[in-house]
Amino acid sequence: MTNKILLTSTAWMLSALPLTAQSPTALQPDTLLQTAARQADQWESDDEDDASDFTFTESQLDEDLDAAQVIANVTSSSNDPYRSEVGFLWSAMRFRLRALDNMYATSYLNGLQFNDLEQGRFNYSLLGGMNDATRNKEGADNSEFNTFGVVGLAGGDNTNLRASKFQQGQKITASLCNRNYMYRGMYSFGTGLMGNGWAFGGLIGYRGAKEGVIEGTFYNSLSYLLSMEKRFGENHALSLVTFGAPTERAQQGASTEEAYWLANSHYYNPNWGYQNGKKRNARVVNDYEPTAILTWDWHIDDNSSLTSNVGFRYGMYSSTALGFAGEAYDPRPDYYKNLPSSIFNVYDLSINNSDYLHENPFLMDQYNTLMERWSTKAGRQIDWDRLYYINRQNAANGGSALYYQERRHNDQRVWALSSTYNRFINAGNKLAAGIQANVTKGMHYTTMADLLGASYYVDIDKFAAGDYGLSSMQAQSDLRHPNRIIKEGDTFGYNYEINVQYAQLWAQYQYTVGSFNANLQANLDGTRMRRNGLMQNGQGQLKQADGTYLDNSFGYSEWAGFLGGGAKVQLQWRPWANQTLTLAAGWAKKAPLARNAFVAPRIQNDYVNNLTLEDHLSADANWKFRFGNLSGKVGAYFIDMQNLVEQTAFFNDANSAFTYLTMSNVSKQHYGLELALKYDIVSNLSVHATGTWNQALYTNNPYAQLNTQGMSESDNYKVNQWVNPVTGDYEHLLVAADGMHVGSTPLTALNFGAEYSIRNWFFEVNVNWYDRVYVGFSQYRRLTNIMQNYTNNSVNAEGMPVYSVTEAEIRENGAVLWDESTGKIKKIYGAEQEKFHPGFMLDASIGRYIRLPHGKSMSINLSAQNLTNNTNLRTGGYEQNRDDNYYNSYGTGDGSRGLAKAYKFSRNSKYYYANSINAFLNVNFKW
Amino acid sequence: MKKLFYILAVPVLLTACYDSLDDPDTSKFADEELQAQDTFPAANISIKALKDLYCQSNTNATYSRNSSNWEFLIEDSLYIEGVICANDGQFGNLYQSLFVRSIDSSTGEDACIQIGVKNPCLYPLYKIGQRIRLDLRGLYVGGYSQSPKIGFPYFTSSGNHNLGPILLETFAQHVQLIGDPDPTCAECQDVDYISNPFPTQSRNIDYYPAIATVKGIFPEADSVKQAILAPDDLEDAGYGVNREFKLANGTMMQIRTSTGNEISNIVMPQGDTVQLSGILLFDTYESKWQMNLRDTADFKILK
Repeated sequence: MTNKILLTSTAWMLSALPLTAQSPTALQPDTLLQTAARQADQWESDDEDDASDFTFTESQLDEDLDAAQVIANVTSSSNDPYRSEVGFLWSAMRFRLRALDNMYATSYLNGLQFNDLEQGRFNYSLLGGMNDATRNKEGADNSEFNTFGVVGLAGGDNTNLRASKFQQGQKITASLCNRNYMYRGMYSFGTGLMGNGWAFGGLIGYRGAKEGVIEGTFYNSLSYLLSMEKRFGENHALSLVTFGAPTERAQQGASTEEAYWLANSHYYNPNWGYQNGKKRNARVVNDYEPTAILTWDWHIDDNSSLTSNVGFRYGMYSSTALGFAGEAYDPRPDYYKNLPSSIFNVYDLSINNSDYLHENPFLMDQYNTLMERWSTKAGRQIDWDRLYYINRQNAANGGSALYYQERRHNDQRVWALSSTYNRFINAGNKLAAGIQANVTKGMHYTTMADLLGASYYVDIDKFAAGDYGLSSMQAQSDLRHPNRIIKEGDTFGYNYEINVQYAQLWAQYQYTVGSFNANLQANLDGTRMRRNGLMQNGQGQLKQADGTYLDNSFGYSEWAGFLGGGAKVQLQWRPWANQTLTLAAGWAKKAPLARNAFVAPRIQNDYVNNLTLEDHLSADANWKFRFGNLSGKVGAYFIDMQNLVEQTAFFNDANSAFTYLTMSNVSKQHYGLELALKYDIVSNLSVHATGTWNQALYTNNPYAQLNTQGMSESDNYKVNQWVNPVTGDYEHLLVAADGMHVGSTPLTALNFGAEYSIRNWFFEVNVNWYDRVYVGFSQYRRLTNIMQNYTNNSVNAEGMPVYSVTEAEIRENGAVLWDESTGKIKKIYGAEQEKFHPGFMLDASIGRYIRLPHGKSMSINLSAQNLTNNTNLRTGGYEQNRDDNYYNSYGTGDGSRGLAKAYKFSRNSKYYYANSINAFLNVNFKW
Repeated sequence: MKKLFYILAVPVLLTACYDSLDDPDTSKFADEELQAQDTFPAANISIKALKDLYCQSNTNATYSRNSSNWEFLIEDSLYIEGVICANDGQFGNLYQSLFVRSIDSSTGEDACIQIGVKNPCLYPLYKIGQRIRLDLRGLYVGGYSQSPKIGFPYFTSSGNHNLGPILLETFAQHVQLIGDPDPTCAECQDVDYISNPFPTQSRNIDYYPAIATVKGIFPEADSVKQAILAPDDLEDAGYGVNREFKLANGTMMQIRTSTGNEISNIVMPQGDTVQLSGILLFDTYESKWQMNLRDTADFKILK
């Protein structure tokens, strides 16, 4: 038995797993909407990448870090053969254009910018299930002249939702698929502009699955959109559009390779479990963001127009997560102590060998017991009945809830205004200019979703209570309501608002002469932000010299203001017909995001250190061409970003505290090549090739700032200290990020495909190759006071310092090397970042368009992805923010690293896998 | 218009909440999940006899790290019976531990032993006053720092082979719950070392572990660095802090408390006599009696 287990455990460690076929998460044909659901999870995932204290995330948070990075920023620019293709082709691998976060893509609706001011991103779930209403779109790359605004580094788009632009007629769509949802129905209509000057358009749809293709998930979403427009005379039109997609959906969580191996599936979902024999998911998202936009179009004359908008959005986003009181056992089924590899270090062959395990049979006894636990489905999922039982037992003695389900709310109220002037001066000169303004109030709080059989919960901070005592001021979530008894529906834990105000003045000018064309853009941005605490957290009280406390939690912080702006220039030369050479460059200073601006926003008003304007530099060169039947684009780009601020939050078990880790002064570079080719063999048969090679790197070791919830001031001070082992001086804490890749997107992707059509039949086949997908790196593991610091004790013949650490150790754990002679850093190495195995995916689709009498038509399309059922393609993942060692004296960085833990967090990142074979059948009928 | 209404109404009906389930019936949970499904025979060894056999010394132990830490693998069908007289409680100061005690009403034989169980929240599962029968076959019995313990071997973070906790799954297969918990039973009453003399014999496992009440003072309360029982700054490698406590008869004992729980934040009074209740152990390293409090209610200041 011992040998068998040894072999199997080694197998999980070393191999890519040929697992049983499981079904994938959903992808819709419409690229922009494909990843809306995951995109919408950005809040929880960014907040908690691995919040094992009370979450399943990691997004938790972080368990959904990967999901957070899933970006639908590939805008469909109609005149760019590369951009118009890649979103559709590579969405299955969560491809991000130029590896850029979605915050660098700018999305407009009717000309009104709708990127979220707190997070920077456009939330595509706003338009979820409204495919038929959102097809009217104008795209623009980074520097391209457009009529709606200055877009981000990843480009932008403007969706026209005016009723008069809806396709005239009615349409019913029915879809079946094996993805997040299983069925979809949609009805849309458009009257076109009627004789009375009115136009109406609308859509209503539903997407649902009692159980999605990932076990334990469900999907339940209604979509609606109603647009009306009235023309007043020749020159004026008013348009009102309102839409929303109330959605309730259960989530999938990432897990470790060991858990996938034990469950024999790369689609194992740790988020659900049995309650009374029925499946229940712990992480359920409710999302509804009703939006309305009133647009006034003023056709001033034949050559100029003014479009003005006022928009309102009220976002109600919440996600549930399990919580538990300090002493309760972590309820996650894939909590590391439930995994067999927590019993002994399976990576250490001096332990993981038959002789040693025979000598110590109790190790295998326990290992096998945990293996047995995972052998049943119920055993490897959440045991809801147990949670209820424990709560009821505790309640019988008057105790509060030991387990509960909380609902984390990230609501937003947004008012946005814009006015855009477009002027066609003459054939050689065009002007677009405008203003944008946005006032956003983010509302962040937690409510009690379910007490799981208990009758109450007491609103105290369990971490602070451990450090300071239950009766301490610091233990109170809200000193204004100490020891508040929480019932279902009550707000508890934290409650704060983030106010952001933004205004932009912009202009674009295009000058064309002969075969040359120049486009100049400039913008001036003002942003200010502040926090408003609605609870008086006990840890947000600053001790004064006289022993009294100053509240830094309740009420408003100071405003932080940023004046940014930028300029871009694009030069185009068309030496011959169908040949365009383009060179572009841009410079911008951009305000930091409010979500990264506060050191511990749940608790207090302090801003992070080094909060300043980001610097962006970009350059593009591309050549679009057509030679006979061959057309395409070849391009190269370079982006340099400096002074960025990035924040993650996670549960840190080294000091049992919820921790915010902020990096400031971050520098990154993205550069790469892009290619798109299409060859028309005959008029109805073509082949295409699309490819990209990107590099997306952190290029420095940024400053780090830790803020740990519940820890005493002195302990908080300690965890931010990094001691120079030579001089004993304190150094500025850093993250060894230099050379780390941006994770969870393929940096290399290639496509070869063919399209054929005949008599209204359409066929397409694509083979896609993906490589250089990196795991999201843990900043915590790469803190210079967490990594080992080494000082040379000798020099070699060349006078170079010699260190005791091996190259292999550096690769695995990273190292800070000090030069004893100078007392300075010789080199900082971050632990090597895991690169996933490359792989390919085969997709195909077949469609038929049927023209019916009386102007009616019908179309049927069946598309299938991953026909070879490659279940081993990792789309992303993240390293756990935990250390493999105990610490004798935490954070002093002076050799205090303690003994090794049996479980190796560094070897157990959490992963997401691309969908296995999946299909989407779509039938629509138009009349 | 009517048509539009129906079109609108159907999806609204469809979007009725999916995330809604009835609360589960947990009346059989303990029977099915917290104990073995086979009925165990009556106890065939007393706790005292078990301690005498396996906890006195390391002679013939299955494994012995040193004279303080050893273990015997129980290969015979041995069953003990007793009442859970202490568990980790809401503050977890008795981390991953149950204490089982049996008092023979006819002979007066009174013995208690610790069971290590790998779970930080045992108290709602195995409650005070719960009578249990334990199948020892496959478990280990021995000394952990010479303290009698039933458990399972493990390697500490220092790499030491010690007698540690049993996986909860394993423990559930080895335990049978008998009747309902009765916290008023004799086994749950503290040994009174206020009215009765404190044991003069050190390191005698007849006297420990035990639930006991003592009275004394914290002689260092006015001079220590921090006035609370277990400040982080004084934490030792075992994540705990020892405080000197002087009994009325002059015996010096230690109050050991884990950091980071509510008990650790109890302020030691200067000069006042204090009544303490908890688990009585003997610290072989310091050669002193030791007490671990179970709850903040175990600490009472007597003016």
